[in-house]
Amino acid sequence: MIPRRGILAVLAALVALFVVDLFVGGYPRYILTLWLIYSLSALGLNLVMGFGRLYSLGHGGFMLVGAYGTAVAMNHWGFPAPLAIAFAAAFAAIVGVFVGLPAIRLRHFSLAIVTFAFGITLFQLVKSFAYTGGPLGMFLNVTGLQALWQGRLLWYAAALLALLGLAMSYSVTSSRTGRALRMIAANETVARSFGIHLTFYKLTAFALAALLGALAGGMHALVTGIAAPDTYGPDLSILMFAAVMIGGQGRLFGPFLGAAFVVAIPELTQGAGALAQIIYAVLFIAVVTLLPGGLLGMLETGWRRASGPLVRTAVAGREGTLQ
Amino acid sequence: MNFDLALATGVAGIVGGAYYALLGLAIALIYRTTAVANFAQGELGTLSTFLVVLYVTRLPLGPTVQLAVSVLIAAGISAFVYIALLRARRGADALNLTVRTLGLYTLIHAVTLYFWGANEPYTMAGLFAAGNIDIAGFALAYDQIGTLVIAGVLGLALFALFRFTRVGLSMRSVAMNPEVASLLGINVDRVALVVWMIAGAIGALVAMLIAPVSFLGTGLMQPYILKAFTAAVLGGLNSFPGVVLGGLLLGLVESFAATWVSITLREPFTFAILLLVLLFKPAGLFVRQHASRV
Repeated sequence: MIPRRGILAVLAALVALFVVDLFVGGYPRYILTLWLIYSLSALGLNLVMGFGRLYSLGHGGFMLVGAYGTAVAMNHWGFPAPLAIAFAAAFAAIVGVFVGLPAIRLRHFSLAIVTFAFGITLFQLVKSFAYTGGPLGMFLNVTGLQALWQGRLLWYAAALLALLGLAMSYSVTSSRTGRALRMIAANETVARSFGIHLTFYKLTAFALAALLGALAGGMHALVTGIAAPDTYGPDLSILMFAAVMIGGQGRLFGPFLGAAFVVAIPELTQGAGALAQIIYAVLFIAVVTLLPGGLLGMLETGWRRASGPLVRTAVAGREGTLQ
Repeated sequence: MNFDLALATGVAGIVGGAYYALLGLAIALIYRTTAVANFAQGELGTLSTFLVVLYVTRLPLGPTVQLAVSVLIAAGISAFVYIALLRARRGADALNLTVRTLGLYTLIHAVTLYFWGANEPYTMAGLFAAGNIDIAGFALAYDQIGTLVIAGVLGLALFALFRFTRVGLSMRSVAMNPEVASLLGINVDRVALVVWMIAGAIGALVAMLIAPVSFLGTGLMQPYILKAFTAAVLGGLNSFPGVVLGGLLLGLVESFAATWVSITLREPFTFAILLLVLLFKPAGLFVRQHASRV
């Protein structure tokens, strides 16, 4: 069942898209596209990390599978772009199941290290094989695609996918799967005693996360026109992890805010030159230290304070199911 | 493969493993007492090494005093990090604290890049003289021996600290159960501070051992930190000797994989082993598994 709020949100997003589309072109649109792509990826990671509390530090690896899957399917097998992305995403979902396997038995720190190692291993592998272009990566012949509809096609596609990702995220978290994941997050032993199939739900979470991550990775490769190993290295995994935490883990719209942070701050501080990275890092630390609930957590608190007690209980009832 | 090559590979593996073991020990110490996976451990070492090379070595002091000053600086930085970053707002959960160390990693990397990135790589004079010792026809470099000696002494010192001193005992009790430890009258906060200082000092020492062998750059510790994490997980975070064994094992596996398999596939190979081990022994190689209770 789709709630009225969800329909309103989607309508608002479509209107925003339309308005933005009228006034924004060229480089700003490129940045907005990147924001949507990172949001899509963070939505996937949020399923695993935010709801299931399974620490995944290898999300960049799924984006790598998406980007390289798309590139290999297009360059080596001659797939058209949409089919290539679909193939990459499906393949990534299978990879996700395998990456999820250690999560059956590992938790916290160990799981974080194993997933991180997965990301790095993929990064090293694509770097060392000529089939995937070695250290240089693979160029995609997408200048035609990028120019379609006055360069708007990929922007629309990214917006559509981000909305789909949001819808999927919502449907997962408000369904049996979401409840199971939250229970697993709270206490695995209790979850098991309630008859929740731990293996099934953990693997499902990883598969879905991989799917969204790979869609984002494929789009990223199309937008930038290249699948290069350094783009999808361990730093990307850390970046996505940070995006989920900064936005507010376990919150439906958190990934959008977190992605906005990691995309916008480096853009806005470009004028500061070499200082930009330091500014980004300081803001990063400030947000996670001062706002454990992330940016969205801060907004929610502010919203509750601003509105009266009646609204507060209503909001708390709703949001309580998301946390 | 002849015997000499195998021996050389083994020695290189043990030296590499000693780095992983020491760093892994620092990571396990912090993780066990404060439940934080300190991703900034390596960068803290890099930062200290930069300060040492650029400032401490220019002071008119003897080499021993310089080393002591360096270790103190590293411990001081680490203590500052704990007080300023991790103790603030204690309500946060372990994940949040861990993400703060990721932020710190980003910050230190940005800072070192800003100040020293333009002129890297720097060279650092070795702590040991260049040259080899011949043992029955087999050449051992001084810095290899030095590294092993320092690692061994440090390991024994830590063991003695845990075993025989009050501070060490309180660390172990906090590691076992922070709540019970605090009920027994242990100042958990102060223990955590001491642990951070020790870990910072170890990290800096390891960085100063590595810097002369490779070049001193802003990415000095990046290849080592993940291996140290791997060593810690491999050995089982709950046992400090396990972490040391895990580190040595990892170093050996990596060294032999580089010689036998391929240098480029060394890391994927190492992680494949990590995955295999954890698939069968999720709590680590040297830890007995406990059932958890609700």
